[in-house]
Amino acid sequence: MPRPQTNLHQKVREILGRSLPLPPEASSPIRHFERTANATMSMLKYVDDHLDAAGFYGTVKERHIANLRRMALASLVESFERFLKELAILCIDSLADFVNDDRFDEFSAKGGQIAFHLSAGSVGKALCESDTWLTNRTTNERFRKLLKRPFGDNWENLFPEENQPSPGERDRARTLSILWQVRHTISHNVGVVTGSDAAKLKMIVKSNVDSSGILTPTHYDIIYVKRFLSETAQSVNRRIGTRLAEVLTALHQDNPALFDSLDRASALSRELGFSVTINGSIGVL
Amino acid sequence: MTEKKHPISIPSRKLAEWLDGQPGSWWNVDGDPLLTSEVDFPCPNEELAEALRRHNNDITIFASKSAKSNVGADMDSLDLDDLTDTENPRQEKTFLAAWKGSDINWLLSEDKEMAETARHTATESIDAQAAN
Repeated sequence: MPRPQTNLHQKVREILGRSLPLPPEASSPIRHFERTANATMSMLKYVDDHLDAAGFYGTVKERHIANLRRMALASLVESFERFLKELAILCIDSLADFVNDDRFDEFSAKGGQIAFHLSAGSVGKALCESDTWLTNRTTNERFRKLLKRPFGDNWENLFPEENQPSPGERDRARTLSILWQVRHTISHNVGVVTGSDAAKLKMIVKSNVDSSGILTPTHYDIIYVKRFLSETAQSVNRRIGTRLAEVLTALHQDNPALFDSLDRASALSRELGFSVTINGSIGVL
Repeated sequence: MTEKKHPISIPSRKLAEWLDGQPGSWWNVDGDPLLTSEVDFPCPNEELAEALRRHNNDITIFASKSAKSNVGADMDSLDLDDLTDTENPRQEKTFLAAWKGSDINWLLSEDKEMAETARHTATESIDAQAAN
């Protein structure tokens, strides 16, 4: 029987009508990240366990699982990127009504994009969602300016460079750089480490990295990447949340009529998942 | 896999106590929005027990066989080991569960491989410290 005629143009468009609402956890960047990352791990474990039980051909199974792990690895890094965006959106929406300076100038949303995003009712979404956040440098530049004190200097680098404090955060930044590059390799070159990828990775890890092979992460590689990103997300969430509370404190001290400090501290605490203090008011979770 | 049929309601602290009694074990939760948005899985037994105590609500376990006791009966005599499903390749203890009032079913399952790896890593770390 020949292949039936199918309107593929229509079939592709039909995908756009299939989506689920965001989970309630999406209102908190850190909870949304944890949930998404855990779901990726659960998917891998569930498939791995049940393929074992079904007694599939070993080599065929390994090939498929390797492909799935590559996709899972890229998905974990992209979940972290989404987490950074959601934190930036939270910062912008917390500050937009109270500041009048250049802190939002790092964002490159064009007029047309802003017009689309304003229907979502958030300045933060309008400015952040269309950009990519896939390098330490880009992320640093945006948060440095976004979280500067009113009429003050820029904030520190979220992911410090080689010569900047602190050593622990520097190590974290370098490891994150590897993962940004690995995501690039998987997303754009289906896991093939090109000469250019290998050269960039060589500079980060300061040792030889072979090119032309296909990345084939193991089960434990994925577990440790997830744990690294989870610990990094917790640290980033706390640093950014604490700094945002400091900036809001400075604004409130300058003009207490701007907002109710307790209401603001409590709302922010719920979104961050830990209690922050704004001008002496301790947020209630 | 055996179809689960017998709902048994237990306090989350009871499940936490059961986890306390299994030092060195590691666990996964698949599908619960609450726990998966708070805990980095897979995790050691004490981290999951802590999260379960924090929420302090009832959990329904869908067991493959009926329990000797249920809510209202003597909760202390409830044997959770006896209710776990271990019909899987590594005989890992598994529950299908749901929080009271929620229609979301989720899996709580042991991760023996991860527990073994963690033990191995801990031993290597202790050896390395001793060598220094």
